[in-house]
Amino acid sequence: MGDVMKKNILELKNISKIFPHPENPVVANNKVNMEIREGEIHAIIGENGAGKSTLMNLLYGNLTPTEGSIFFRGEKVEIDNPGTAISTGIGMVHQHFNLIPSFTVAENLVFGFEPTNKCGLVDLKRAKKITREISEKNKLFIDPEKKVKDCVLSEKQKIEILKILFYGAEVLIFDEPTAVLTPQKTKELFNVFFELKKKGKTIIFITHKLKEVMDVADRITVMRKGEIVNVVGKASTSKEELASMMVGRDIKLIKRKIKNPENFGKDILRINNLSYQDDYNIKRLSNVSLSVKSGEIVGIAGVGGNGQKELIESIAGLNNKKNISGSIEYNNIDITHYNSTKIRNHKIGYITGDRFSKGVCGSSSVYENLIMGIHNDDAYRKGIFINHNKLDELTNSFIEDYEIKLPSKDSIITSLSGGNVQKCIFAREIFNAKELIITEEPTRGVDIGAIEFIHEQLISKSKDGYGVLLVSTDLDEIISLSTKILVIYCGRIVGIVNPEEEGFENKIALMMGGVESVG
Amino acid sequence: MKKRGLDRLLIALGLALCITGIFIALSGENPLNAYYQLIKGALWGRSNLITTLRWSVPYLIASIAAAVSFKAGVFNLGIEGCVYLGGLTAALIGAYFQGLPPLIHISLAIFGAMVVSALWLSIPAYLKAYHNVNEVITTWMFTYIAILLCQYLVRNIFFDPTDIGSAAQQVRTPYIMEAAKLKQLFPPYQLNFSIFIGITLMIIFYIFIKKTRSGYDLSMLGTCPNFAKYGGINIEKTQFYAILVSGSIGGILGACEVLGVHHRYIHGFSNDLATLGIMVALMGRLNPVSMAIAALFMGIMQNGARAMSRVTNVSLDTVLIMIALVVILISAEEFFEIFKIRQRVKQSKKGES
Repeated sequence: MGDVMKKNILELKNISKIFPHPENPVVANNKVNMEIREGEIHAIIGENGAGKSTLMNLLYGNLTPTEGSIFFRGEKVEIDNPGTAISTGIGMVHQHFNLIPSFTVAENLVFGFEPTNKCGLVDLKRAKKITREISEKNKLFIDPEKKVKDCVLSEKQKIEILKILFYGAEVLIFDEPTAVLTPQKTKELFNVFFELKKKGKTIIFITHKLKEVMDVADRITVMRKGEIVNVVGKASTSKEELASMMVGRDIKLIKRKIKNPENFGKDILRINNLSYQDDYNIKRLSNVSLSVKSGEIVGIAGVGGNGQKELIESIAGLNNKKNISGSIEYNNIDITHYNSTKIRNHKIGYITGDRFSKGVCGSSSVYENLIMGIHNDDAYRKGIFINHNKLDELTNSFIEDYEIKLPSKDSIITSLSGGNVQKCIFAREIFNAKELIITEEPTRGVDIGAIEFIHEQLISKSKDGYGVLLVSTDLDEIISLSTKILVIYCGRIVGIVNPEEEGFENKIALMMGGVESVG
Repeated sequence: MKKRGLDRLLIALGLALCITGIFIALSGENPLNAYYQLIKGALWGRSNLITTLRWSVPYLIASIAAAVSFKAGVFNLGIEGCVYLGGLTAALIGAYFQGLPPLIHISLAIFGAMVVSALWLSIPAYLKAYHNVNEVITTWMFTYIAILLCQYLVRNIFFDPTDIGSAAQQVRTPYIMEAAKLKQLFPPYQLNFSIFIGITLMIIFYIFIKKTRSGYDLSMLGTCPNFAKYGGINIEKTQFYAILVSGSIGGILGACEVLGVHHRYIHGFSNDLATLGIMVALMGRLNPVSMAIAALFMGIMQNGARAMSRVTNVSLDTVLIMIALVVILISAEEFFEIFKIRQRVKQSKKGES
């Protein structure tokens, strides 16, 4: 048909990106070959860790490739910073907008490239004129004099788009553009895509929402574990097929590490109709209900950014409690509005994969990190004093039992490898937990030996009667460990799956891509 | 880690000395002679040494006051106000209670100073801890209010009756009772018993930070607030009490100066003691032992500078320049880290291509 004759505006040849590391180098992109045709809307789908964002960062100059080359309209380009990308004609609209709240739309638009009058001062009148022209030309209507802090999210996104059009972008890259949009606004955004396409612009967008892909994209690239799995035209595929390509057909091959017991015990954690709106008034959780019984490992599967973080943080008391509705119960005690201090007093273990943003204190010693929370236990304190002798013994036992490799307990925790830091967090939190363990990304960035160890520990705790809530974007982990799997999509639980049931893998893929809702 | 810190401190000190030396040379004096006079005036001879110690003590106490709050990540600039309020309280208790034995009288005066200071800062403390109102502005404003309030109270209510009718009426309270005085250790020099109070406070601070549960909470809050919150530390309570305790130590400082040196409240008795105390705390990296050394350094600077300005043409303010330079250069070591990181990034980029 017509597009067979269309030229490629972008070509990636043999692109690899390896993040160096003494123990665990990360191959984010592995010999990727990609062609983007001029004037098409091209979707890139894949789970977390597929390498989509890395690839786009390579195109935009935030990262440079370890090997391979990029061609723009047939000519090789070296994109080593966003400035070069912009002057080449590639623009990116980020998930987190780079706008100045106290400036107007026009001032933000021309920022960095302000038009000046004869005296060399910024010509605001011309800035407003430019804004009006570009916005009318592309049917992205917005008031140039409105202050950005008074703009809603969809308007802010419009400004970002206008900005890169102002810079002369021919290729526009969007990273999960509908994450913060309502269905209505999503429709409007897609109309914008169609308008831009009419003007000859090329659009690349990253998403995991398969329905959107089928609504808007011309061609789709599926990525998995740093490689291209397939490239298909919309007409020749379906949501279902995309779902199974995205998640991979080899789920069946994932080895189960746990066997579901006959019975489970009492409800340890019960969540009823939990909804949560963040400080920007975006609904992050909608009517989430679930329970974790003694002996269960409840796995929450889903692509990152669908509410997992908000769910765990709501339970842990780290969220703004004013924006929560619904209830969270721990052993029949209502903990919905408890702050983190009160939650910790109930001895709920909370293993986080956010190592250095909250799991440990980067500038403190291993010892100081290991004793957090335990220092208030009756057994390890003497009135207002910390019983350092007993804690010394305890932390030594942590290091031995969990085989943590470290120079000394007094060395700063950043001198340990990622896996060993995670083991420290693990040891501490398992000790802190009385009956319930909640965990997010427990093995992120951890070497295989430590992963095995952590998994064994979680399974053994569940056998001891603990309840475990496991949130992870690593589907292999969820499938191998969970007694029950819930899939979260756009802040809702869209289905429950028993991993020992026939055909569960198909259901999971569809739910993660938002194609199906069960119950 | 500690050794590296000491090296950096010495380099910062050395640089500060050099740059200040340039200023001294510009004012027509020989820097080496000026520094010699400074050291001599601070350390040579019994009277100079004792006076240096006398000055080190208030800086030590002030630095502990600052450190308690800064270690929690709270920038309490209200300590100076507490020095005044605490000093006034101690002066009044010292002057108007009769017939008390020294131990009780002094303890009462100091205790009163602590309570008044803590109550005073409870408003900015509450606003900061529970409503996230920026404490830098509120505590700084409260300092001004406190100082002016003291001046008003002393001039209009608590003035010394013997001052009326005298040619130059000063803003000060009557003398305190003998029993309320902190004894001088080597009369007639001003070094007094408060040095033991200072050392005790330093020991208590050390034990607090290293050995108590609240000390751990406070340190973690200041170093890694996210980790502290995640770990269950009550952020609001910790911040609130950090400001109160910090203020009450400022009150102790005011009381010590009044009871030990001036024996009455004289308006203006604290010449930026608390502000310089903050600098001492920063120089000492919020660490009790290093702060003591930094306090001694500050004492040497203050006392030696006076001697230097008497003997040479160099003004007292030159010393302030030097102290400011030391603080800036020590903070600048953080910039060295940024340079290092930039180098590393450049190297790795080169390595990649």
